[in-house]
Amino acid sequence: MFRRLLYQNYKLFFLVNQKVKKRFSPHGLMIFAVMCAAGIFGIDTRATLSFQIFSFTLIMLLMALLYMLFFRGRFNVTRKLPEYGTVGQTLKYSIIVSNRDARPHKNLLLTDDLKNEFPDFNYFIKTRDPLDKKRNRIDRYLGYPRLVNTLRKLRGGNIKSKVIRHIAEKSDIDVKLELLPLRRGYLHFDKCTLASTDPLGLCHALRTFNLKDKLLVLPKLYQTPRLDLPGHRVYQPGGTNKASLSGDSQEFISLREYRPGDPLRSIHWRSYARHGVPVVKEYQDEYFVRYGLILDTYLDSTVDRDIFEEAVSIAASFMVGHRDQDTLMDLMFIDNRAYRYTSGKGHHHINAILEVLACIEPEPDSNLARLQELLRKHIRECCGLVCVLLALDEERLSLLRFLDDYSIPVKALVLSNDGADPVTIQFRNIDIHYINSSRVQQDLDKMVARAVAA
Amino acid sequence: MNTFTMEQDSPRLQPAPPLTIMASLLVWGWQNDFVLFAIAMGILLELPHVISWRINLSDKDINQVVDLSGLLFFLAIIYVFTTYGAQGIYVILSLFPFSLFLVMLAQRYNPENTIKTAALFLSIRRLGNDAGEDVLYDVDISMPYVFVCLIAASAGHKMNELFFVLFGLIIVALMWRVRPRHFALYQWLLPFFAIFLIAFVTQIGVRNLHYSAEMFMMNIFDHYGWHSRDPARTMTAIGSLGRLKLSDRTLIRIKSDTKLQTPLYLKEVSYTSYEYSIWTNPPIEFDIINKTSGRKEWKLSPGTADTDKLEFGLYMQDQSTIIPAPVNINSLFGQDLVQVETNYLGSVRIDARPGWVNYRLGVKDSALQQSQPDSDDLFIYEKYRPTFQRLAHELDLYNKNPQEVIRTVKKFFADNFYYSLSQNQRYPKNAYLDKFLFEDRKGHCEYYATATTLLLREAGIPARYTIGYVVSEYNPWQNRYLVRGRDAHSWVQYYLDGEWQRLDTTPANWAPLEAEDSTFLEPLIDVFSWLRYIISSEEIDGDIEDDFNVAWFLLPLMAYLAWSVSRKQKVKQQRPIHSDLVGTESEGMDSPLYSVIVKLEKEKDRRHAGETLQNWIRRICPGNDAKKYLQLVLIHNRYRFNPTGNKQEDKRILAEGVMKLRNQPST
Repeated sequence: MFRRLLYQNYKLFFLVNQKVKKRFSPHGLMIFAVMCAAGIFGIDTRATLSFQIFSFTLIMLLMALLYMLFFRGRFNVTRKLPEYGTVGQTLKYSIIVSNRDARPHKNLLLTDDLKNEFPDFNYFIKTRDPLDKKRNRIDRYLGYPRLVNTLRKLRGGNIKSKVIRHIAEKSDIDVKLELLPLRRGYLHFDKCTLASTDPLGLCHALRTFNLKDKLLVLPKLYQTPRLDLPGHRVYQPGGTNKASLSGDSQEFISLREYRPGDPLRSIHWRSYARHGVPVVKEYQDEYFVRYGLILDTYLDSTVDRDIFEEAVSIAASFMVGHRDQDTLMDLMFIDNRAYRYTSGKGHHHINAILEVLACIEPEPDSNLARLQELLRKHIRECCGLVCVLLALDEERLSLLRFLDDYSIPVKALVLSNDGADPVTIQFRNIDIHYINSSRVQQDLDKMVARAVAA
Repeated sequence: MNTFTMEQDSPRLQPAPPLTIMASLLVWGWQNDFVLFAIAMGILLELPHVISWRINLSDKDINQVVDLSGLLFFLAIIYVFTTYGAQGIYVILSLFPFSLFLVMLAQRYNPENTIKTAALFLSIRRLGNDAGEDVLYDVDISMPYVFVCLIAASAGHKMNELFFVLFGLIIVALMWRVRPRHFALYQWLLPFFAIFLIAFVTQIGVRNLHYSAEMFMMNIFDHYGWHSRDPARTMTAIGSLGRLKLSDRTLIRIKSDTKLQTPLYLKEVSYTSYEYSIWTNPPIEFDIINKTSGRKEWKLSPGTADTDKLEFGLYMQDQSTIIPAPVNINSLFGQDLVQVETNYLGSVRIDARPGWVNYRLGVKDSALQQSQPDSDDLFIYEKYRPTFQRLAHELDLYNKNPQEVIRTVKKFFADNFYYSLSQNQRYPKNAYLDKFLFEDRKGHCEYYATATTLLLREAGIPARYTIGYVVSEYNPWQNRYLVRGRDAHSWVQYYLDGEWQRLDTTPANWAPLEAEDSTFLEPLIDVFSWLRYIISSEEIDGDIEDDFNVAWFLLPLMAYLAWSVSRKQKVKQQRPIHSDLVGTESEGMDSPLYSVIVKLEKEKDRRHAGETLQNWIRRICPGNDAKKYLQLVLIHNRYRFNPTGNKQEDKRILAEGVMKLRNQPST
């Protein structure tokens, strides 16, 4: 009951806070805070002179707010977004502001907002935040810092405001904004605001534009080791275009933007020099073998959501990292139902696979039996498997035993927060790697070192 | 399309311009008597503007400075609240600049001239680098510090309008640096000019609004919450800051046959023990006074005749109330009274129904008997004794006889003190009397009465602190003396020559000074108060009052009722003209046809019950004979029942017809 009341208050506070922050400049906020403090101490006008401070600051703010009534400005705003973004990679996009007035405007603050999706009460209660370990007991119980963090993650990114120093009459201006995506999936753009400050520099007169848009953010990618699984080529049903030969044709297809995980040798240096951003060459695969990538999506309450996010990133990294080889790669997971997407020659383009991975969600109930069923159907088509697991409990060990029985080489990547204890069970065909979610890249690099040493 | 834009890196507070910290500290120091501290602190904080010497402080060092400041501030809060009580909140407010000084100093002499938000907030500090850029950043606290100094300065009372001006100038200096540069200078100055003017008027309005709201609430409190004095305890306003304000509400009405030559003191309760602004008594039992048999009269001093009588109208909030009464009260008489009690300190308590109660109070020549003085009447707490010993030495009271002591004390207060309802300086709780006697030398009646009581005790004269009302305001159209909330007063009763005597050392101008704060609506409020009193109160002994009768108030009501009734009667008279119902029994009874009907009934046959005239005629007159009658019956019915018909014409026709019938031979 108390927490529900807190939640309602947080919601109200958050909404008011958002509006106040948009309406006031930092100095306006300070004057507002001074006014509140003076109002409290000055409530007894016999005891202090704070009521004079209250009166002065109140009139200052009212005068600044009055300016809003006189602000005249007619603008058009258009947003231009790229096709994809990647978690952790700053993304540049444009907003074109058109001044339809017959006079110029100066010092307009352009703010682009991502939609704030306020979580419902159950989500607020059940959400786990890794930073809670560092918070004190009161903060943990009240949950406001956790809520702010959750909101930040749900919003999905930060966009820095830009000041338009001058926009001439009847003209357009292309404003470059930067967005840092914090999570994968779709980011929903909501409103775009042009703010003009009053002569005192305390408040903003706002012109708000409803520009609903969405941008797909792909998972974060890591450098992954080569999949040197000791397997053999397997007959691929589907015709000659899927013949199980090996090797690269080096047939050039196109240029595209660099994504982390791309090999450096693919960079097209001329284009890089021309555009200022890394561009890589894409080649057509002609020869392939077939690997399977199993993504564990069963996230019970004992496992952090961050581990799942890292698992998705690792899966995406393997999918991207091996697409230029002569391989087919099957991504297999359970999300409501069983899915199997194949990337490679004649199949889905890697971008389609990344889109799938960008939108994948964990399941709170065990789905490992269904995953096993899916594997049973397709495992014989694969010459090797990569299995990304969120933990290594009895159910997952049972899955590994099941895989071990097929005599197919398997690399099992087990994620944990603080390093899981290695299991003592010996598998014939399964190589288990433990990956700490806070240092994924280092642990992936260790896999390479192990492979070399082996 | 151009790209003339600039990135806005999370807007942050700008540093305070040079000398603004010094200015705000000086205002604070002047207001709170910390001038030397303010100068020293100001110099230390402004010096980094002119020297380049800095200390490399790590984040950890700054965290420790913040923690130390927090700890010192916490200790200061404990000390201040234990010393000053609830008023300590304003002392704490005045100490704010001290509490942040070390932090400010650390920032100023840090090469970066900023501190991290993690230093100020433990929750952010615990998160470390995980806290995120939006909460963990470098901040300059100089501008907030200026405002802290200014708010702390408002806790002092040295300046009033000047403080407003200084605050305004400092804020202009602060805002100058952060003003939007694309506006012309006049566009920035003009709003500030307007702000100065409007804010000045507003602050006066805010103060007046507070006074009005306070007055309003006080009146409501008085109306619904005014209770009898507590004979065991009374809290004085000694040490309360600000201006004392008492209600203008009329609490008592007194009618006297003779005009009062001097103000009449109405005593409620005397108290014996003083500590920390509170006067107390040991538990007191009241003795019930026996009623005079057969009358609603109580004699407080049996066998003594009344020398004069006063008629009191008192508002009783409770059934039992200590009444304000002259010390020479002798008897009480009133139909509403149920029980009368007194105690050994001379207080009188009555039981009656709540609401306005009228009673007649008889007085005698001597004062009502009070208990003999005892050790309580000479007691002074040790914490106050040095103050009064010092004063008694200064006035040489130890070497004077009691009469000389009384004269000296009276003269001392009359010559050296003046009346004031305001207390602006803040002192420790037990220091207010000392400051009143030796430094401020101004205060309201509670200061005077308390100080006089304790001074007399120090001089060896038993004395009691007494509270009640002083009657002086006469209202001619009510023909009564009015006692308002603001007439509440306190004085001293001292024991000399075998009796308790009154000593009032409060300067005589206290009543007009208190009346100065009365609202201009007071006459109007008095009228309504008087009407309420008249309507709700009952007579002392059931007689009609000679000077004012409630019936006079009912006169307009009665007049209206009479007018209304007469109007109703007039309507009734007019109704028959238009009504189909009224008058059916009497109208047309003089129809000439009735004589024919009577004759026919005798000659032929009687009409049956419910039989119409037409049917009856047809029954008794068969054939053509009936026709000559039936034509007359039609006219008769019209004459008899149609209110709008031509009555005279119908009557004439009927008379002629009847005459013809009589002249015709009967068949």
